[in-house]
Amino acid sequence: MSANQVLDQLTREEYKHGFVTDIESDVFAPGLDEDVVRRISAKKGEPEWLLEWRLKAFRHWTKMKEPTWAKVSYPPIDYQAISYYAAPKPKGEGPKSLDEVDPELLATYEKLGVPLKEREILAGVAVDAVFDSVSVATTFKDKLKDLGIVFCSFSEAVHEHPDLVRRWLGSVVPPQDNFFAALNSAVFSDGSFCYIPKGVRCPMELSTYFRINQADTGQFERTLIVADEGASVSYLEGCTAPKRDRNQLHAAVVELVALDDAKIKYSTVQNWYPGDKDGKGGIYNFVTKRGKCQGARSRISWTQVETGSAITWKYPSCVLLGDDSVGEFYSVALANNYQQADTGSKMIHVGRNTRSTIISKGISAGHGQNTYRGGVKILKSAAGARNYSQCDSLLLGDKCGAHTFPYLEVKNSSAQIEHEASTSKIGEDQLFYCRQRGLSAEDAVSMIVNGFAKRVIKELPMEFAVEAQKLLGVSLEGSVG
Amino acid sequence: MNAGVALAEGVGAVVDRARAFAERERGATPLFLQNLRQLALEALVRSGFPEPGHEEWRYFPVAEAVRLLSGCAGASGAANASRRPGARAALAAVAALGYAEKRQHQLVFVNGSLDPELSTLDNLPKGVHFHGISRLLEKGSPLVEPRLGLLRGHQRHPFVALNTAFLADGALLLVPDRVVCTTPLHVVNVTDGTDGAVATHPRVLLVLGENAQATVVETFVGAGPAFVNPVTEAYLGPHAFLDHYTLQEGSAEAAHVGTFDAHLAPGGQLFTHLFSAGSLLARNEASVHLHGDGAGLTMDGLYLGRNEQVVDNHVLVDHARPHCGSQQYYKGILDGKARGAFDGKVIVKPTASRTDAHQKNRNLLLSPEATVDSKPQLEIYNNDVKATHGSATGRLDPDALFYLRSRGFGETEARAALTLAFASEIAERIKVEPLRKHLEARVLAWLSGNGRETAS
Repeated sequence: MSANQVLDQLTREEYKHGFVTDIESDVFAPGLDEDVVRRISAKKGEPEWLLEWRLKAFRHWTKMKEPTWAKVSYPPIDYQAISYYAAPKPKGEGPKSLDEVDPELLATYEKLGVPLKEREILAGVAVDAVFDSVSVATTFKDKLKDLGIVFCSFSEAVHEHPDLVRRWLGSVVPPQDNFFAALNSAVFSDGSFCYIPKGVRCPMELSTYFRINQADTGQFERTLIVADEGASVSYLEGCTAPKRDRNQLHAAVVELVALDDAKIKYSTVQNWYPGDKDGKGGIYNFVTKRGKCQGARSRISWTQVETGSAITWKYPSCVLLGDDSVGEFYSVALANNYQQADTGSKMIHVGRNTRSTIISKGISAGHGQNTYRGGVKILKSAAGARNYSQCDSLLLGDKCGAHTFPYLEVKNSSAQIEHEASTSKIGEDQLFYCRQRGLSAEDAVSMIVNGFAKRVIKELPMEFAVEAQKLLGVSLEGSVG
Repeated sequence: MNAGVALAEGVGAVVDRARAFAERERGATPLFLQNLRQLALEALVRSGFPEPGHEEWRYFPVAEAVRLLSGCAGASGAANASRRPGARAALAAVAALGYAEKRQHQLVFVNGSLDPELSTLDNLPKGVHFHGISRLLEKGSPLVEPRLGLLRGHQRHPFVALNTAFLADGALLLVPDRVVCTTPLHVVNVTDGTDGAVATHPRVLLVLGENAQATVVETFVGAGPAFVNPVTEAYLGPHAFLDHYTLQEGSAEAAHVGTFDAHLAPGGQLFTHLFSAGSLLARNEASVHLHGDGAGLTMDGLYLGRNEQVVDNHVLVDHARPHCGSQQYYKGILDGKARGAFDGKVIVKPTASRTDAHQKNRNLLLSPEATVDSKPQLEIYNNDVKATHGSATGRLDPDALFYLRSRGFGETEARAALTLAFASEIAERIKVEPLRKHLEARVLAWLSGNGRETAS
C-alpha cells in the first residue's frame, strides 16, 4: 500500500463515538431570553444570588458582538434556534447511588469506555460524568470526602458549598469576559466543581466526561477547580457526541485557581464529533479556559489533545500573578477533513520570576485548517520573567493549511522570551528510511506522527496517553503529499 | 479628543486638501494621473485611517501620526537645499555617503521636489532612465503610465492611497533587459520642516528588465516637524536582481510612514535592507509578491529606538509560485522609553509548492522602560514547504557583560561592544561599502548617547 493510500485510509477513518442513546430527556424549547435563564435557574433550585449573576451575564451578552477575529469560517449561528437545557428525565428523585442511575446511561458510558462503576476502582479514576447538560454520577465521592476534597457536580456544589462557589465563581473568567463566556455564564446548566483543601494531594486522577446526546441542544458546562495552599490535583476531561448532520454548539468555561504552592494539572482529550468527511455536521467548540496562579510558587499546567469538533476556538491561558509561579501549555491539535481549529495559549506574566512554556503541535490533513494563536504578555511588573514557546505544524495532504500567529509583547527588559515555529510535511527521506527498515508505509506515518506529538502526549496521565495515541491513529494515519 | 474622532477629522482635513490639490494641478496633469489620484482619494474616503485596535496597525499610534499630518502644510513649490539651512544640516548628517558633493548617481528631493543642483545623472549605462518624474507626469509618458500604481497599493492601503492622491514628483529608475548598473543609485529625500511642519509624499518607481541588475539606496533625512509618507514600487523582470536599501534617519519630530511594494517575475532576486533610526514615529512597511517561479528574497532590518520613539516594522511576503525562497532577519535595539514592533507575515498560497521560507526577529532591550511587540506569522496552504520562524527578546547577557568587565572593559564600553556585535550581524551583510561604514558609525554614535543604564 502506498503512503498516499495509507494517508487516505487514515484520514477517512470514521467517528467511533457517533451513537445516540435513547433516553427520555427533559428539553427546553429552542430560544433564549431572560425567562429561559430564570427557568434554568429554577430547575436547578438555585439561590437568588446565582440567578442575579446569570441575569447580569445575560444582559451583558445581549449587548456583545460575536467575535470574528479567529481564522475560522462558519455560517452565522442562530442563538434562538438552540435549546439551552436538556437533561435526562429524572425518574422520581435523583439517583442515590450508581445502582439507581438509568442503566441506559451506564451502558452509554460503558460504550465510551468511561470507568464509571465503583468496581473499576482499580482504574483509580474518580469520574463526574456530564450527560447533555446534567451531571449524572460522581464516583469515589466518599473516599475523597475523607480527605476533605470536594468533587461534585456544579449544581450540588451550589447547594452544599455555596460559600466556596460564591467566592470563586467568575473570579478567573468574569461573566463579561467574552461573548461565549457571557453566554455560558447566563445559561450554564451544570459541570464539575472541585476544591482541594490546604496541603492535600489528591490521591487519584479526577475526571469529567462530557457527552452531548440530544439533537439541537447546546452544551454549556462550567468547571471550577480551586487548589488551596500547598494542594495538588490532576484533572482529566473527555468529550464525545453523537453524529448528526446539524452543527451543535458547545461553549464551556473552565476556571482554575491555584493558591500559594498549589499545583493543578488539567488534561483534556477532546473528541467531539468533527462532522463527516464532507464537513457536514459537527460540534462548534467555543471554550474559554483560564487558570489563575494566584499564589506564590503555584503552578498550572494545561495539556490538550484536540482531535474532534468541526470548529475549535479555544485558548487555555494562565495568568501568572504569584511570584515564581509557573504556567505550562502542551497541545496537540488535529484538523482533518473540513475541521477548523484556532487554538493556542495565552500566558500573562504579572508576578516576578514567573515562567511559562508553550509547546504546540498542529497536524493538518484533508481540507483541515489549523491555526496556532498564542499570546505571551510580559507586564512591567514581571521582572525576570521567562517564556519559551515552540509551535510546530505538520501538513498531511496538499489541501490543508497550517497557520501560526504568535503575539509576543514584552514590557520588561529583564524578561527573556523565545518563540520558535516550523511548518513542514513528513519528509520523503524519513518515510523512505522507515520503509527501508521494513515498516509498512502505514506504520511509518503513524510512527512519525506519534513521534511529532510525543512531547505533548508524554505530559498526559497514562490512561489518557494511551487513548490519545489511539485517537491520533484513528483520526489519521498516513501522510505524504 | 478621542482617537476615533481625531482620525475621522484627520481624514476629512486631508481629503479636502487632496481635492484642492487635484483641482489646482488639473491643467498640468495627464488624464491617467488625474484618474489615479481620484481613485486613491475615493479609496481613502472609503477606508479612512486605521482605527485603534486595527489588527495590522495595533502597534502603531495612527492617531498621533495623523495629528502630526493634520498640523502639516502641503509641500510648497520648488525648493533647493542650498537655500535651506535645515535641509543642508540634515544632509550633513549623512555626509559620509557623499550626497553633499556630486560624486555619484543621485536624485535629491527637498520637501518632495527635485533639487537639480544636487542631483547628478551623468554617465549612466546606456538605456538606463534615472530621473525625476514630474516632467514625465506633466506630459504623460509610456515609461511611467503603465507601471505607476499597478500593484494597486492605493486600493488596499490608506497611506499608499494618501501618497497617490498627492502624487506629483518622485524618482523613476528603468533598467532595460540585460543591463547592469554597477554603481549604486541614490534617491535622497530631505524634509525640512524648520519653517513650519511639512508633509511630503515621495514616490519611487523601480522597473528592472530581464536579467537587469541595480543597487538602489533610498535615504530619508530631515529637520523639524514633518510627515513623510514615501511609497516605493518595484517590478523585477525575469532573473532581474535588485539590491535595495532604505536608510530612515528622519527628524526626531517627524512621523515616517513608508511603504515598499515589490513584484517579482520568475527567477527575480530581491535583497532589501532597512535601517531605521530616525523619526519620532516610524512605520516601515514592506510587502513582496513572489509571483514568478524560483524567485528569491532576502530581507534584513535593523531598527534602533530611544527616548519616546516608536518604530513599527511590518512585513508581508506572499509566496504565490513554486520554488521560491524567502528569508527575513530583523533586529531591534530599544532604549529609553522606545517602543519597537515587528509584525511579519509569510503567506504560502496553495500554488506555491517547494517553498522555503524563514523569518527571524531578535530584540535587545537596553533600558527597563523600553518595550517590544513581536508578531511573526506563518499562513500556509501548501504542504510541500519548509517554513520556520523564530523570535527572541531579552537584554544584554549578564555573563557576557561580566566577562568583558573582568577583562578590563568599563561598563559603558562593555555594553557598547556587545550591542554593536548584536547590530553587526545585520550591518555586515550590507554590500555597499560606504553605506556599511556609515551604518556602523551611526550605531556607535547612537550607542555613545545611550548605554548608561546598568544591567541589573
